[in-house]
Amino acid sequence: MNLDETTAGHLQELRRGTVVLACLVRLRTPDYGYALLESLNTLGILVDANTLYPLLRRLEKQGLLTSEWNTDEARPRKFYRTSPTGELLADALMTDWRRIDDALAGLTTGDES
Amino acid sequence: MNHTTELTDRYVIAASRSLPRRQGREFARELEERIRDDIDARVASGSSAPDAAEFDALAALGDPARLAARYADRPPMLIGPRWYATWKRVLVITEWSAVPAVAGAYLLAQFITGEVDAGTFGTTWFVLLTTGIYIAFFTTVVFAAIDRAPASDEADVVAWSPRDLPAVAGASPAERRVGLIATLAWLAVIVGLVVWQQFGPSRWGHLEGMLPVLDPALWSFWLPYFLVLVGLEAVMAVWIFRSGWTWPAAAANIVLDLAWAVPSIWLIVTGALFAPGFVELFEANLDADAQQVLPILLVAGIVAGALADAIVGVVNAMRRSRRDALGLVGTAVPARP
Repeated sequence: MNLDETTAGHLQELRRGTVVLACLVRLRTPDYGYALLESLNTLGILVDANTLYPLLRRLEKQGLLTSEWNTDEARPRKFYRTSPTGELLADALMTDWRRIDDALAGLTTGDES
Repeated sequence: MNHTTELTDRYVIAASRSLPRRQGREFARELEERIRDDIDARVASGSSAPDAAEFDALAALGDPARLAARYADRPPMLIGPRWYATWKRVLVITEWSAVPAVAGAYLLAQFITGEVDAGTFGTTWFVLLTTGIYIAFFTTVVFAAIDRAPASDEADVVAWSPRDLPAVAGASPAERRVGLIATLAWLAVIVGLVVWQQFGPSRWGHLEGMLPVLDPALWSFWLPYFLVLVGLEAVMAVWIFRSGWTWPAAAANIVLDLAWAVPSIWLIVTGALFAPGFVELFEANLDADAQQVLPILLVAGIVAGALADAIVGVVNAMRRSRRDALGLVGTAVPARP
């Protein structure tokens, strides 16, 4: 395994949890898979389709997202929305994210001094 | 248009195949939506020609079976980490105990029925191989099934504790001393039996007509030879008590095993081991089949014993050398009690 692969592997691990958090926050307004993929990547939360689609399915199974098929348009699409449980999880994750960010900030400034 | 739709349908069918029917429908709809959106995006961005967009989208999705595995909660593995260690341990133990036992029993049966020829080596190898494969297959099937059963907490009730750590065999001086005493006592018993069966009955028992078991003619060479081996075994036991099982000790042990087994088997096969009167006394009570089977069982017992002893020595030396290679400092045990 060369350095690029190692880096890619660690980046993927680091981002895994943040994609969950981003989905839960973003889906407070309902949306379907492809639109969510586009908007997250536009925001700079990099995630590929192979990760996102299975993730949505898993979050729904865990009761963190609810879904509804929208058949108003010519093509049926599954719209996901963050459930109340999902909201609670999003809050918990966000709190922890901020705590880790502060801790890392403390670590790096400690290094420099 | 008809052609391209068919391609997507085929992909969705292939991907849904591994899923239960109820989940399959929802999954198929989701996957269709994903593919259609991807095709649209490809056409809109111009990264694929309209004709090729569907093909490109499906190619990017990759093997449908692998895609389905990514969607499923269960990773595509036969036995997951939860049961892997147990599966491996059970497999190793059953293979190592059952395969030699079955092959040994088969070989013994061949000898007893007198069907041994050049082909026996091949058929024994076949028995060895098929037994090994059967055990591996069924053990793995059972564990794969257990791994797929709904997880119950009961399986984890037995919590691990440091007390479960395997003991380091032969490492403590007390354990080695027990081994030394046991071996020396056993050797003394052997010497006693060899001497007693020859001189005992007539000298101390005053029982006229008692016969020695072993042929007295063997005193000219073989019985002294075996008594010397007993002495060497005693030296060996002291050696192992002092320095533990090392590679030279294991090698010397194999040489000693051969020195025991080869002459005694040769003496049995040539019929020179037992005293003439003793054999007749014995044979009077045995039918022809038993007379034929008995020496075979005796030889098989000697082979099995020598083999087991040699293997024990090698395994101990292997464990010891692996342990030494770890270079542990803190757990070193004083060499002398």
